[in-house]
Amino acid sequence: MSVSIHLERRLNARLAMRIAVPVAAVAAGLVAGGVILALGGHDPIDAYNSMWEGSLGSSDGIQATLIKACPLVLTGLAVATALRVGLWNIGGEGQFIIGATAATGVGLYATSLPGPLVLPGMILAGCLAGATWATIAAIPRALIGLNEIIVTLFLNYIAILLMDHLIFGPWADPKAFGFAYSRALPDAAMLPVIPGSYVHIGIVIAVLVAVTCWWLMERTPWGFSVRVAGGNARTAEYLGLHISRRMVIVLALSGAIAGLAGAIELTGVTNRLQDGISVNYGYSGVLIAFLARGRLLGVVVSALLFATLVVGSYALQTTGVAQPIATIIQALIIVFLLAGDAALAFRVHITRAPRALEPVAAGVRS
Amino acid sequence: MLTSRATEGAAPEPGATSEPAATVLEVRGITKSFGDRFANDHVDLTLKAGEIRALLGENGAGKTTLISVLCGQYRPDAGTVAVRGWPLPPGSPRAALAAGIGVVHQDFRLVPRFTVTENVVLGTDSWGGRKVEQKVAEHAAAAGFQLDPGTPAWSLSVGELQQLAILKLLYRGLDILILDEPTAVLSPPQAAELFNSMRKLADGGRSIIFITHRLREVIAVADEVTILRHGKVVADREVAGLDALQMSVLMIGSDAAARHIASRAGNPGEVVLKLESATVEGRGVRALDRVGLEVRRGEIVGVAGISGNGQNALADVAAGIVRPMAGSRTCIASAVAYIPEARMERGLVGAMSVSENLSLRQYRRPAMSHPLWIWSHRMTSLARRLIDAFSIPVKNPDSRVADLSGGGLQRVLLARELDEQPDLIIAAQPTRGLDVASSAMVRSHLVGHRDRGAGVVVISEDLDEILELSDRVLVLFKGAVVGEYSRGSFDRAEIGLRMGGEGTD
Amino acid sequence: MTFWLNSVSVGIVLGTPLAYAALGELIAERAGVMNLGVEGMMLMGAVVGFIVTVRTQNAFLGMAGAVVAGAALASMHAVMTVGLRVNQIVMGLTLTILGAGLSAYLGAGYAGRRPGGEINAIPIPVLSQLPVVGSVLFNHDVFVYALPFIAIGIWLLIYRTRFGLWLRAAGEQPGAADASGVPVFLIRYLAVMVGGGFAGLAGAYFSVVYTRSWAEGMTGGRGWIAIALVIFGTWNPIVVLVGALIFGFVDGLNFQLQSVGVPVSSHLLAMMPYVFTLVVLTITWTRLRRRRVGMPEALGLPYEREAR
Repeated sequence: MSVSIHLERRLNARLAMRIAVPVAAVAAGLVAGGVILALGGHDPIDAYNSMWEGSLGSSDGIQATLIKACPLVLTGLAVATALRVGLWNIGGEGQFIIGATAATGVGLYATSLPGPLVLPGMILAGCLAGATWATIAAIPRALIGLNEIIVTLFLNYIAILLMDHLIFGPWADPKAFGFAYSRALPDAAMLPVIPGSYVHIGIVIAVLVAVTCWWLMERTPWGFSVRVAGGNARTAEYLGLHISRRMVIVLALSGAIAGLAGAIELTGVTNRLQDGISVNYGYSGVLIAFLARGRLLGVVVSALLFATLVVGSYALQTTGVAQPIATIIQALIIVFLLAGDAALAFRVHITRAPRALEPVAAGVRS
Repeated sequence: MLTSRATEGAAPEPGATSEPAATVLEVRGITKSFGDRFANDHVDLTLKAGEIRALLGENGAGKTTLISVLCGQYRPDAGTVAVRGWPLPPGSPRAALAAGIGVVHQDFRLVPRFTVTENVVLGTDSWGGRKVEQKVAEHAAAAGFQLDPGTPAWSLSVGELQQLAILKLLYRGLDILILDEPTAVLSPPQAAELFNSMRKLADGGRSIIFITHRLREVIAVADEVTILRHGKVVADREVAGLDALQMSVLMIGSDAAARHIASRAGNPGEVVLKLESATVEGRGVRALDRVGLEVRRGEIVGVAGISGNGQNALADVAAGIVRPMAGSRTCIASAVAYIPEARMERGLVGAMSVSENLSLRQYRRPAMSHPLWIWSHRMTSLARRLIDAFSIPVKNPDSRVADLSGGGLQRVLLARELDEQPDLIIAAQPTRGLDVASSAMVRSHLVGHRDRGAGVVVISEDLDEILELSDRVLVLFKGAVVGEYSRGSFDRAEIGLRMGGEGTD
Repeated sequence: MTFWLNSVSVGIVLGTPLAYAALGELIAERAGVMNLGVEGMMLMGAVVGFIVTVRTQNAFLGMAGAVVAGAALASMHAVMTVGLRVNQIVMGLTLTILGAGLSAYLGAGYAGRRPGGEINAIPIPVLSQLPVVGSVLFNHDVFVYALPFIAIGIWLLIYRTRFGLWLRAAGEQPGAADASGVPVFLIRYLAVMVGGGFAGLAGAYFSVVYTRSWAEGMTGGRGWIAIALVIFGTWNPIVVLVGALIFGFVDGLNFQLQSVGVPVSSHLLAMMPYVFTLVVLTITWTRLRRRRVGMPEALGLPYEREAR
C-alpha cells in the first residue's frame, strides 16, 4: 500500500477564494514571522503593533509608505513591462543604481546648465543610463538568444562596483573619511515635495508612468504587437513582426523605468549617491510584478502593499528587532503567497492504493 | 473447452475451436471529465488474449483519454481496470507497465537526445552499454525493424520513430499493446506492413488495441471493434459482419454520406503562386529539394505525403514566410491566408483572448485602430461576427484562446485568415485531429473559396481527403515532388506507393 | 613568477567553492529544475557551517551542518516548484532573499569571531616537494583534492548509470520519462536537494576554510556565478570544474593585483571576474547554438501529468 498525493487542476477558482487565499497567505506569513520574532525573544504582538503604527497607522507612517512605494512601483513596472515581450528583467537593481549614478554625474558636473534644467537633466540622464544598461543585456538576447536573466544579474554587480568606485574615489565627499557616499548634490537638484507633506512628487511620477505603460502596452497597436511577440514568437514571425527589435526596445524601456527610479530616489530622498541607495529594490520589483500577475496597473497596488511591509519593518527596528527579520518576514510572506497561488490552481487529493498488481509474468512469446 | 481426453496429444482438427481465449483486460465504467465535459462516460471494454480490437471514433470522442487512463497517466473519476483479474492501481504509469500495458502514443514520447538504445531501456534496470546494445539490436532484427542501436533519436524519420516506440514495448515484454492512430504517419503500403506485424504479434499471444478513425483500417485488421461517440460506448462487436456504412453511422450518428463534400471541378484562371526549383536546406538536410509548384485561381492543389517529408518547409515557402535558398517564388496574391499545421504553436497566441487572436491580422488597420489607440469595441464586434459565422464554440470572446478544443482553435484560425477573402490559401493538415463536423466545415470553406476564385494549396497526410478535394495532386517525399496527377487520373495505389518513396522509375 | 604561481594557487582555492556550487546546480538543472536560490543556500551554508564549527570546535561537523542547511532550504524550493508547480525563477529569487535575511539574522552574534575548528592544507608527500607545481597544486585542503574525483564521479553518474539516464530523461522529456516508468518527481526532488547540499558546502568553505570568519553577505554574488558556470560549462561536469577554476583564477587576480600595487581602484579590479564571465558566456553560447548538445530541453518548466 502506498499513500499518493496528486494534484488536479481546478478550472476556475471562485471569486471568494481568489480574495480569501492571498489574504490568508499574508496572515500565515505574518504568523510565521511572529514565531521567529518570539524565538528571538521579542513579543510578536508588540512588534506587529509598531509595524502598523509605523506604516499605515499614523500620518507619518503613511507618508513614509508613499515615499517607499515610489521606487517599488517603478521597479515593479520595469519588470512587468519587460514581461510583455516575454523577458525577465532581473537587472532592475543595476539599472536603478546606474540611473542614480548617471543622475549624480549630471548633478555634480553639469555646472553650465541653467538652474531649472538641472533636475530634469538629471532625471533624463537616469533614464538614458538605465536604458543603456538594459540594452547591454537585450542585444545578446535578441541576437543569439543568450539568457537575459544571467546577463542582467551580472550587470547588477558591475553597476554596484562602478558606483562604489566613484563614491570612494573621484566623487567621494572629502568630509566623509571613507564613508560610502558621494559629495552632496546642489539644492537645485532636489525633487519638490507634495505641498503639505514630506512626500516628494516621485510617487505621482510613478503612477503617471504606470498609466502610460498601461496605455502603451494594452491600448496601442504597437503594444499589441509587443504582446503578440511576447506571447508566441513563432506566431509573431508568421505575422511578419520583428521580434528582436521589439525585445530590445521594450527591454530598454524597462531599463529606463528602473533608471528613473534610481534618479528619483537620488533626488527625492538621499540627495547623494551612497552605498545602499537601493535596498534590493530591483529584486523586489520582480516579486512585486509577479504578485501583480504581470498586470501593469496592478503593480501599483502590489507595490503599495510591499511598501507597507517594508516601512513597517523599519519601525520594527526601532523596537530593537534586528533588520534581517524584516527581510525574512517579507520572504516568508512571498512563499506563502506562492503556495496560495498553487492552492488556487490545484486541488490536492490524497489517496491510498496498492502499488502494483500481483507480479504479472510478462513473458515474451513468439 | 478442449476436445475429449481421448484425443489429448493429437493435433487439434483444423477449424475446431480451442479453449476460449483468456480475458486479459477488463475495463468497467471508466469515467473521466474535464470541467463539465465528459471525455469518457462509463466506458466498458474487454480485451482477450491474441485479439486485435479497434477503438473507433471520430476525433474528440474520447479514445485518447481512455488510453491515457489505461496507461496510468490520467486518474479516472470512476471505474476500474483489471488486468488478468487483478485490479490495476489508477494513475500510476509504473503499475500499468508492470501489468504489461504498453502504449505507443501519437507523439511517441521519446527523448530526441537519447540514442535508440537509451530510449528503449529508459525505465528498465539498465542504462545502456555494449551488451545491452547487442540485445536491443537482436530485438529490433526479430521485429523486422532496421534500427541501429547507437543512432540518436532526433535523426530518425517519423516511421522509424514509431518503430522505436514499438520496440520499447516489445523489449520490455509487454503483452497488452495499445497503438494510438499508428497509421497517421505511414503511407498505405507501410500501414499494410504494420497490420501484418500486428497480426503476427497477436497470433503469438499478445493483445492489441489500436485506435483509429478510419473505417478501412478497422475492416483490414481488427477482430473486434469498440465504437466511442461523445465519450460513450455505442457499439462493441465483432468486425466480421459489419460494413463501413454501419460503422460510420454508429460513429457519427447520422448518414455519413451526407458529410462528404461533393467537389465539382473548378475553373482555373491565372497563376497565383509559382514555385520554381525551391530549395530549403538546414543542418545538412534538404527539407525542400527543387520543388516546383503552380497554383491557379479557382483550383485546389493537394500535396499528399507522410508527415516529415518537407510539408512544413513547403508550407512556409509557399506562404512567403521563408525565402527559398535556391529557386524562386512568384506570387501575385494581394492577400495570403496561412493555416499552419501547429495551430497553437504557430498560428495563435495562447495567452491572448479569442477576440484578440481573431484580430491578429487586422489590428493595425484604420478600421480597428489608430496609432495611439485601439478601438476595443470594434475588435469585439469583429469577434462576435466571426464567432457567429464560423460557429466558434466560445461564450465569452475575452476568454483565453488556450482553453478551446482542437476544433475550436481551427475555427478561430480559419475565421481570422479567411475573413479577408484571400487570393491564396495555404492550409497545412487542416482537419487533423478535428471531429467530423469541424472537418466538414473546414473542407466546405476551402472549396467555397476555391469556387470564389482563390488558389488553394492543401497539404494533408489524409490521402482520402486529398483525393476528394483536389483538382490536382502532388506527392511529396523527402522534400521532392515525386508525382503529379490531375483529377480524372488519380491512381490511389500508385500515389500511396510514391508517398512511401517507392514506385518511382 | 611567484606572482603567477601564487595566483594559480589562490585561484584553485577560490575556484573550489564555485565548483561545488556549480556542480550541485548542474545536477538540479540536468533534472530540469533551475535553482536561482543558490546564493541564498550558500549564505545559509556559510553561517550554519560557521556556527556549528564554533559550537563544536570541529570544522568537519560544521561542513556537515552546512550541507544539511543548504539541502533544507533547497527542499523548500523542491516542494514549491516540483510539487506545487510554482514559477522556478520567482521561487529561487525568494529563497535567495530568505537565505540572505536568515543568515544575517542567525549570524548576528558571530561576526568577528574565530571558528575554533580548522581545516588545514594537507601537503601530499613527495608530490608537494616537486619544484614549481608542488606548492601550487599539492598543498591544499581535502575539499580541493576531492573535487576532481567528485566531478568525474558526477560525470560517471550522469552518463554511465541508470540513475543518470533517468536524471537526463527527467530534464529533457519528463513526459516520456514518466510514461516509461521513471519516477520524475522523486528524481527532481532529490536532484534539487543534492544541489542545495552542494551549495551549502560551498558557502561553508568560504567561511570555515577560506576566510575563517563570518560576515553578512560574504559570498558576494558567487552563487550567481555558479549558475552561469553551469551554462558555459555546457552542463558537463568536467568542463564546469575547469570553468570554476579559471574563474577562481580571475577572481583571485583581483586581490593579487592589489597586493602588487597596481594603480587601479579595487572596485574596478573586482569587476574583472564578472566582465570576464559575460564575455566567455557570450562566446560559448554562440558556439552552443550550433551543436546539439546543451541545455536540458525541459529546464525551467514544471511537469504536470494531466496537462492539457
